[in-house]
Parts: sequence; structure tokens; C-alpha cells
Amino acid sequence: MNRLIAIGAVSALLVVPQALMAQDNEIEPWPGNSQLNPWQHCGIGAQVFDDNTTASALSNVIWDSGSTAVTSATISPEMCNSKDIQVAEFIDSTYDTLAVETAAGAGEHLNALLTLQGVEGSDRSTVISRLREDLHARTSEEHYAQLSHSDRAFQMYQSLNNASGT
Amino acid sequence: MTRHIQAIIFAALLFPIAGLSEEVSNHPTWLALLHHDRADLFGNTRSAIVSRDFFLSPNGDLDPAAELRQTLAMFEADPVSYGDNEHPRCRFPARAMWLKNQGVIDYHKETQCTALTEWLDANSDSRIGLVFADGYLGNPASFFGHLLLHISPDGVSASEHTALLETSVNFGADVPASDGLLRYMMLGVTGGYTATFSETLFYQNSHVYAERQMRDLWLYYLDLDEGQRDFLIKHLWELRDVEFTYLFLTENCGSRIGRLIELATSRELVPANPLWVAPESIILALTTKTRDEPILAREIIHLPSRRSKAEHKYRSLDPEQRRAAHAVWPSHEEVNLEAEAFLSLDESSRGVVLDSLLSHLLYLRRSHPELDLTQVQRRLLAARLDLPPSAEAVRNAPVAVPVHEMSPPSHIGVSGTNRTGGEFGITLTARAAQYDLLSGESARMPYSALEILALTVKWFSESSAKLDDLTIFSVTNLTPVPHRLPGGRRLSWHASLSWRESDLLSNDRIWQAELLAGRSARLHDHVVYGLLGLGAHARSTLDEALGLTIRGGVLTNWDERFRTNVFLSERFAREDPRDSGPQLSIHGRYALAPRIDLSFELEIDRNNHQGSFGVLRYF
Repeated sequence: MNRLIAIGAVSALLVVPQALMAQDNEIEPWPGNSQLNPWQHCGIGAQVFDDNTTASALSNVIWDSGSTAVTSATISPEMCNSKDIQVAEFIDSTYDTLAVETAAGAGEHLNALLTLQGVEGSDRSTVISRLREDLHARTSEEHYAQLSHSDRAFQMYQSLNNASGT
Repeated sequence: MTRHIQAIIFAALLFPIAGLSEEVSNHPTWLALLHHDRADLFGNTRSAIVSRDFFLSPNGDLDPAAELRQTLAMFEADPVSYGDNEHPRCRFPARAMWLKNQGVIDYHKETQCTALTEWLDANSDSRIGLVFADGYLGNPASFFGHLLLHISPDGVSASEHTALLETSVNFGADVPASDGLLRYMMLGVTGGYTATFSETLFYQNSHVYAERQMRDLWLYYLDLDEGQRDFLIKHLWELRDVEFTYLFLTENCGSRIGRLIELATSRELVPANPLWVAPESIILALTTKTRDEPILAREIIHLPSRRSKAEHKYRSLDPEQRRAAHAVWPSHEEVNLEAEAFLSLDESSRGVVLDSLLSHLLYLRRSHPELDLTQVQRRLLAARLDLPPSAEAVRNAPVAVPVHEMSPPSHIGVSGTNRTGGEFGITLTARAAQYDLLSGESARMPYSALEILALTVKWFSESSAKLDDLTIFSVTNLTPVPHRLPGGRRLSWHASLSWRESDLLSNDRIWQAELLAGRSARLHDHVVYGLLGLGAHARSTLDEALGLTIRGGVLTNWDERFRTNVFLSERFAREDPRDSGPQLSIHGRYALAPRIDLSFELEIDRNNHQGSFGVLRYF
């Protein structure tokens, strides 16, 4: 199965047209082990309600937080149901809180993110330092304020994967 | 498929129907497994589940005995005839467990249920808890709080850090996104929606309730033994994708999750035919020791809302740090990181100040999405990242009263009353629900009131007892800015409908509807508020009058036990013959003992006065 997923990922790199990648100029192909961009390929973020909708106001409403929309025929459903996607969903849902806790260097959401990513023990402080460096570089530029939520979340996702060596 | 049907029919024919124990099909646990707990006006009962595929018998939702017969027949079917996950025992493991424990059936051949096995492996050793989200006045459906089921998979207690990644099970109505609030309320009360259990990681629910709606959460772990946990986990498996009838008052998160706990513990938590089920009543039942039942929920974890965290961080600042905070962020658009008050602090203190400001910024971004705070956020983040990280995780632990220690929602009271002319009398009061401005408990929405069905009866020696006041509902939401940080002003409001005297000591009773809006501010332990709006008065003679109502007051929290509300009200209407002028009201409440308050009220206008002093008992 892993081999199939790897083949799928490579295929995605070859087949996904550049136009798809260029839909949002801020999002670039991720240069890590997988070419999967959860925000572009798996529809992450689409299920998050705007703050002012009726649905977000109704506490008894159920939303489909677990499933994501596969937006590319070259990305298999399995790829959009992997641990990476859980990490991406967590970042997408809690980005603002994560950024604040990353700046402070500690916090329950940051802790949960590292647990989800499988970063344990003394590696945690190293990864947190790398996340702080990357976020510092981003927020030092005026441009950061103009980025969309998805762009910021994807940047943190990239940063985490690079810092944790996955 | 044909082979399956043949096997089932064959087994059903073989099964000795006459030998079925009526005792088993009427057993409370069997009825609970079928959620056979709805009754119509004629006393006929049926299942609250509307999904046809939950029942193995065509009449299973109406006839528990038929469902039992069909269940036993299908459970007996040879597993060899079924593929992985297809045998009925894979679909209904809790039924299979209970029927086996009752000695009704025994299984000689194992079934292959890979998906169920994975579910049980992940959850069988779990600790089960309930999460209570306090009331939310942003939406009538959430006024009375919300209840979630929480599963800690590794069997140990969650900390506030690990709870985010644990399993949360929500029960709620499936409401189309296009349905507005009024349609939701109408269909929610009349049964126009179905509801399902949904499973997700807890951070999703925490984000909605604690981070967006600013509701404090309370996680109560239940003392369940291994068998009870196993039974509950298996039944949750059975309820995946199953649709229930949804009724806002009686078939809601509180009643449905309460009945799940009843199933596992055989302890009655939900009355047989309730008029309504408030989520907090389930928590109260689980935390109350009775003669026969021990306390079922002991370990409690407070998960504060973003507002609680932000306010707590601000209050934890020392005076110099507060001055620095105000200097750094004096207004919504302005950030001054060169302020002398800030730069004079050491690195550690500057970090604490920025942590507090960033927590407040998170609160503002979610409570005031109309504010553009992106540049402020960027600059505060960059400044904080310039400083070293916190030495250790700062615990956000604002002190709050857990829901089970709050006063219960209903009360009765009796007081002695004196009024103009030296008359003495007795005043009786009663309220069905829920809390008022003098309740003063932090697990409720702060500075808010939600009263449903409250009445006052007065009896003076010279006259017979009279219904003095009948309040259908009264909702007040004061939203004071708790500090001098940029706050994003929020509207304070009040809405009520009541039948009451037109003026103090008047014999004229009128229907009165009020919708007021205004501002409030907090000064130390005082909340000062001013409200203005429409007041519609309708007398029995139907000479309706619409006028302006203005009200201003001070709500004071003198200490943990003593609160007062002093307010002045005046009403202006073109055709109003009243000449009594503004009315001054002084209301106070002192917590004498758990569930018992001393209460006093004084009302004065130009012509009359009335004072009372008495005691309230909550239940």
C-alpha cells in the first residue's frame, strides 16, 4: 500500500498541471517527501465556517470535520486520509492559536501539534526553535498580513515538516 | 445475499418464538439498546431512532419483542455464510454482549469483524467523560449549555494539553446551512430535524465552543467499571450514522447522552417523560450522591474559553506590565513597540506583556471578526518572536465555579413585604429556570441573565392573594469590556415578555414586552450599564401603548457571596397617563448556604414604595 501511495504521489507531481499550482501564487509545491498540498489537493479549509454564518452560531449543528474533498483525480483518497492530512487539518483549524503559542514557545495547541506529528522528547525544543525562526522570518515581512489563512497555514505545515525531518 | 436471507429465515423458523422471554424484550436495558424511550399522547412507546437500517425487524422501532426475535435469529446465523464485517453481530456488538450476559444466547462460532475489532482496540480501555459547555447567549439553541461525550483512548486522564487530540462525540441536529435561526428554532421545537452522533478529535469541538463562542468547558470523568465502559463503547459503534428524532426541549444532547450513561450504569439520569432536559441536569445527577447511588463523576478538568484565558492573562500582569500593555497597544490600529513603559521592562516581562496582548488579540479576532487586526497581529507576533520563548508553559487557570457547584436553575422563595401605607404582607416567588444577574457564578455566562417562567404572588392582610408578576422569559446580556485594552465595543441587550403591574402598586396588570440595547463598562467590581429601547405595553382593554424605555444601573459583585443590582427605569409614552416618574430598584442577594440565598428588594417611585426581605431555596 505504501508503495502505491508513493507512486501516486510521484504521479501527482508529474500530472498535476502547473495551472493548478498557480491558482494561488502564494502556495508553492512543497519540496518535502510528498508532493501533496493538503489545501489544494484535499480541500482542507473548505469545511471551516465563516464566523458569521448561521451554521457556525448553532452549537448543536454537526459538521463534517473528518472528511475532505479530493480535488485532483491524481490524488488518491488514501493520501487525503493520512497522518499528514490530520496534521494539516489541525494547523488549518487552529492556526491563529498555534502562531501565538509558537511565538510564546509553549502552549496546549503547540503541544498537541507536536504529538500529532510524532515529535517526542528533546526533539520538541529543537522543532519549536525552528518553528519560531521560520515564523519570525515570515512575520518580519509586511507581506505576511496580506496572506490568506490557507497560505499561512500551509507555510506552518511546511515549516513543521522541514523542522521535524519528515 | 440470497444465501444470507435463506440462513436468516431458516434460523428464524427454528427459533422457538413461544419460548422467548417477555421479560427480556421488556427489560430496561433491551429497551435502552433500541432507544425505545419516546411516548405519544396516548402512551404508546416507540424508538427515538428513525434510521430503518438500525432495526433488524420491519417493526423493530415499534415492537421490541419483534426486534428481539429477529436479532436472536440473525445472531444465530452461521458466520461462515458472511464475509468480513457483514455478520449482524459485527453491526450490533452491544446487543450481542448483553444477550449473551443474560444467557439468552450463546455463540459457538466466532465472527470476523475487522472494522469493529479496530474500533474496540482503539477504545476499549478508554476512560469516558462528559464535557459540559456553558450557556451561550449568541443563539437561543445554546442558552442552556451543551453536552458532549469524551473518550480518552489510553485509559488515563487527559490533561488540558492532551485532551485536544482525544475523541469527542457530539450529538446534534443536522441543520442545513441555509436554514436561518427562526426556521431552526421552529423546526427544532416541533421535531423537524433529525440528529446524529458524530465523532471527531476534541480540538474541533474545543475550537467551536471555547475559542469561537467563548464558552468555558468542563470535562467530567465517569467512574465506570471495565464492563460498563466496554458496553458503552460497543453501543457507540452501533450508533454510527444512526439518525434520531430531534426535539430541542426533550430529545437533545442532554437527554440522549444521559440515556447512553443510563444504559451503561442502569442509573436513572433522565426522567421518564420530561418537559425538558437541560444538559446541566445530567451533570448534576452524576455528581450528586443519593442514598443508593454514589457520585459517578469525580475528576473534573476545567478547559477555559479564550475569553477566560485572555482575561486571566491580563489580570495576572503586575501594574508596570499593565501600563506597558496599554502603551504598546493603545488603539485597534496602533502598535507602539518603542513605548518607554514597554522598553523599560526586562526581556521576560516584555514577553509576558506580549503573550497577554496576543491572547487578547485572539479573543478579538474571534469575537469581532469585523475588525482588521492583521497588521497588529503581525507586529505583535514578530515582536514576541524577537524575545526568548517562555521558560515553561504558562498555565491558564482562571478560577471558576464548575457547573455542578452552581446553584440549580429553579428556585422558590418567601419574603416579608412592606409597602406604602405601612401594609405588611407575604410574597411568594418561583422560577422554573435558569439564572439571573445576581446569581453571580462564573460558570454561567458572566453578567448575563436567563429567566424562564418566573412568577410572584403577593398576599396582604386586606386582600386575597394575587398574581403580581408572571415572566415568560427575560434575557439580559451585559458585555462590559473588562480592561482598557482595545476591546471592540459590544452591544449589551435585554429582551423580556411578562405580565405585571403597570406601575408600582398599581392594580392594573399589563402585558409588557421590552427590547433594549445599550452599553456597559466594568469598573473594578462594578458593572455600569445603560439600556434604551422599545417597550410595548398591552392592557386587558387592548389600549396598546408603545413607548420608549430607558434603564441604567450598577451591578456590583461585593464578594463571592454578595451581589447587588441598583437600577433606575423610566418609560416614555405619548398617551401614557402615569405620573409616577422613574422607578428606583435596589435588589440584593447574599449566599447564606449552598442552595440558599437571602434576598432583598426595594422599589421606589414618586408615589409609592415597596420593600421585601426573605429567603430563596434553589433546587
